[in-house]
Amino acid sequence: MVFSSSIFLVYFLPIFLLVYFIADARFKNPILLIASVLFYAWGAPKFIFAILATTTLDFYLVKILYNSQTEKKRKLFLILSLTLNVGMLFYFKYCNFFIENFNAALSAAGAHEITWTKVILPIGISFYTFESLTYVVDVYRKLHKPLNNFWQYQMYILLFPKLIAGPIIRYHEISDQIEDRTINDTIDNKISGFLRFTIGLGKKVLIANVMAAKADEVFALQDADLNAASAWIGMLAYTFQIYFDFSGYSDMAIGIGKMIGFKFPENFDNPYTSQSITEFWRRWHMTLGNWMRNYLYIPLGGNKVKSKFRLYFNLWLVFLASGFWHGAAWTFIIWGIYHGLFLVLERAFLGNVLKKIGKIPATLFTFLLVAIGWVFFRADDVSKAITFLKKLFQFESKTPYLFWDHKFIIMMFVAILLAFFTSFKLGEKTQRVFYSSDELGVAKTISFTVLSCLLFIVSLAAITSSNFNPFIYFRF
Amino acid sequence: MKAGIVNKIKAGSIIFILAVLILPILQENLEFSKKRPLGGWITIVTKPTVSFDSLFSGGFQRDKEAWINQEFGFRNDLVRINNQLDYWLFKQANAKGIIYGEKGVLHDRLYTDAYFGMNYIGDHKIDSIAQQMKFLQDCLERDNKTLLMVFAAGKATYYSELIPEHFKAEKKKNNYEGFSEAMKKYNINHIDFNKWFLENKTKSQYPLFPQLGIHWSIYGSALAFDSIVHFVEKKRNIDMPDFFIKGVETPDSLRTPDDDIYKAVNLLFQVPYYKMAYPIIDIKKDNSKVSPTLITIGDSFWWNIYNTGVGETVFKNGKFWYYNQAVYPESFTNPINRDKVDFAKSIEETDVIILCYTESTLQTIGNGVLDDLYKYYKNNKQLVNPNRDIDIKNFIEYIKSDKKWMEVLSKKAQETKRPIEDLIYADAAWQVDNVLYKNK
Repeated sequence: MVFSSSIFLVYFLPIFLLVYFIADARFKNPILLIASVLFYAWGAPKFIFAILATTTLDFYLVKILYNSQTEKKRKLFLILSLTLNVGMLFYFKYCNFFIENFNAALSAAGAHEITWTKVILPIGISFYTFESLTYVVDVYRKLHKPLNNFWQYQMYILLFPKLIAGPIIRYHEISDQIEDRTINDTIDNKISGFLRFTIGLGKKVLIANVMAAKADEVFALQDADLNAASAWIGMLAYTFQIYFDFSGYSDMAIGIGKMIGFKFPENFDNPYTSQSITEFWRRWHMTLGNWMRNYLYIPLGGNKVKSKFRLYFNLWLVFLASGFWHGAAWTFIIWGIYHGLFLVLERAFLGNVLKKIGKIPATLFTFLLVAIGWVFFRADDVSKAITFLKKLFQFESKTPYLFWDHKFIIMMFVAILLAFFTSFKLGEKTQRVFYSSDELGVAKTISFTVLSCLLFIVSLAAITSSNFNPFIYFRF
Repeated sequence: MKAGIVNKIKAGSIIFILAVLILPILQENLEFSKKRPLGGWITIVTKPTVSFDSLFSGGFQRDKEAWINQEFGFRNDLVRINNQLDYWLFKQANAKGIIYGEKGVLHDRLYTDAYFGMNYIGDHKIDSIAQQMKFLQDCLERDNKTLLMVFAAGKATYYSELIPEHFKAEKKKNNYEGFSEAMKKYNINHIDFNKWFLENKTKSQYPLFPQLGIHWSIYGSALAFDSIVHFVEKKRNIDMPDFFIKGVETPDSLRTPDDDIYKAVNLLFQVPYYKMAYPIIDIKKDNSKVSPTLITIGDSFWWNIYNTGVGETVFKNGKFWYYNQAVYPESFTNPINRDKVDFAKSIEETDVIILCYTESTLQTIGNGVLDDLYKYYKNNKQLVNPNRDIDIKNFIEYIKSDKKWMEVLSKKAQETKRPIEDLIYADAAWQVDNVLYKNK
């Protein structure tokens, strides 16, 4: 089940909220757990058992780890838990990739390929596996004690608002809220949470989906039909699609979380206003960045390594891992390497250059670099990505055949405005108004309620209409 | 403001939000607001039944979501809201191929693309079809039957100046222009209403095309039918029952099909439109007049004429073979496909055969009926001036469809180093001369 679907918006969410709000505090966690299991099982009826089994095993492994007296035993159970989680991720997400590449190498060498039945990827596995890892590591590091209640642990992993697409919530960030969140369970948070949810829904449905349609059109073009103008349109369309889709989903997760008393960490902070790639990664998918820093970069030595070479290598390795985390394909790896390369260059000299050239040039340069990187993210394979990038700079007089689409052009302007408006003080102020957790006055209560309901209705209308495109008559 | 009142307002807001969320479920189950069906044609999703297998495989979930998306409460109203917003903000119509033209005129991409020549089938193919039509016209005339090609007026040609700039393409030769030339070249009976409508656009007292429909107006089609009757009378040297427009009605509302494409757009609010005229037709019954029998093969443009009942009043026993597939009037009560009809008997019993096509459907002119007629004459009748070229052409198609024959010829082409097309032609010509014509 996805948030931007009729079944979620018309059935799941209203029924869940009604039951949750009415229920006594003792029953809220069980209701949330049941709803989360149903939410995941609806879309992945087979994998729900895998996730329940692994979380059960993990809970007890971590409990034993916590109660172990010797460091040796603690490390053993840490390794067991890490192996279970990483092993599961590797099997479901990366086995196909490695087998395919191994078979390609065997085939090139003239040897027989390995017979392999492709494994289906369970939805959300990258997110909940990383959260499971934070649980075991945070307990190992003694940042927080483990949960006593097995069902609360299940709820932490399966919590439906963030289960499928994040934010990646580190265990210690939420552990107290699992047991008691009365402090955040206020009417104000319900109202502002719903607004946040509908803002996310609007970003996804009204902007991202429009961008996606055009991006899909361009990236599906044959090489002969693709020219520079179409390539630029496609690249920009995808750049905004991925931002509004992903940040929209995070907004929805944070919004629902807020409505039910949770304070989830922010995941996006206007990343396209960044003036360097370094800054971009402090604003884009922040929870992944935090995870990588705390559980990979720092254990590798972080900034405290002795040589610059080792520092650059660590940075680059972390981004290679980030790329690979996004998907099991060479395009994602190259995307990660690409970002890692610019991070290293910025550390070396490029950062100083960007600081000197001024805010607007630095922002535009960074935006261009990021947009070019997205081509690898979106393309089906490396050769198509390279062809696409070449086309970007092969300017011809031929007019792009797929250009004039009023809705796309207008929504592109809206996307640009919303992506960059916090570069200005008015934009920053506006965002603070909508995203703040301050107490609401009467004016804000009414305006938030009206705005969120309108956004909900318009978004639901767009969702249901996307499947309704009638013919005038039955045609032979 | 007092804290108590503020808290009440907040509580009220939460209740309002929950009410908005719950409303569709309540509407679906209680239907307190009448459901207005949406216009246009779409495949309806049926309610899925659950089974262990379908639930476990995810199939039930997929089908259920599709069904819910179609059936949830206020869904049709939400579609209208979305379409209205797309219209106001982006001038976008959410129905397949429909575009908002200038001055509020709706167009269909099938017609505009055809107008710009995007689906042009080529001079060679048109010439080939026209030759076949000429041949059939001669065969039919020998049997005192009349073949008549009717170019129904197309909205893209009529309102070409109102096609939005961004849907215009470089104007190339289109099928209407190609067939129009070919009809004149081979002296095939035809009436060009595309040309006639354009010539009378500013002269006509009432609109010949509706703003919100794709078909010629009922008034325009009545004028067209009048011309068809005069043509048939002259061609057959007969006096048919008098058909005339004794008056027109100009109601405020539109009658089907003058708003057919508009209905598929499904807006919340009615767009303004210009009034249409609906002719009051009179047909004088006179036993001295001759009513020939009629079969029309064509697209939806013939419906405006067919639905006035002139097939039974001005003509006799008028049949409509819609795209040479559904047979009317029989299919009104009991759907019947044309291949279930006794074709030979139908042709024998008919006096006039009309082909009625528009700019967007000319590429499939006849929908196979021309080949059926050709086979009818070859199998049942002595061919008049057998057209060797057409027979060879047909045999070439036959050879190309025969895999074994093509394998033999491919091998022969390699061995003899001759183009395979030459070999195919030679075989086809030999078959026609030595087998087909020998057996006649």
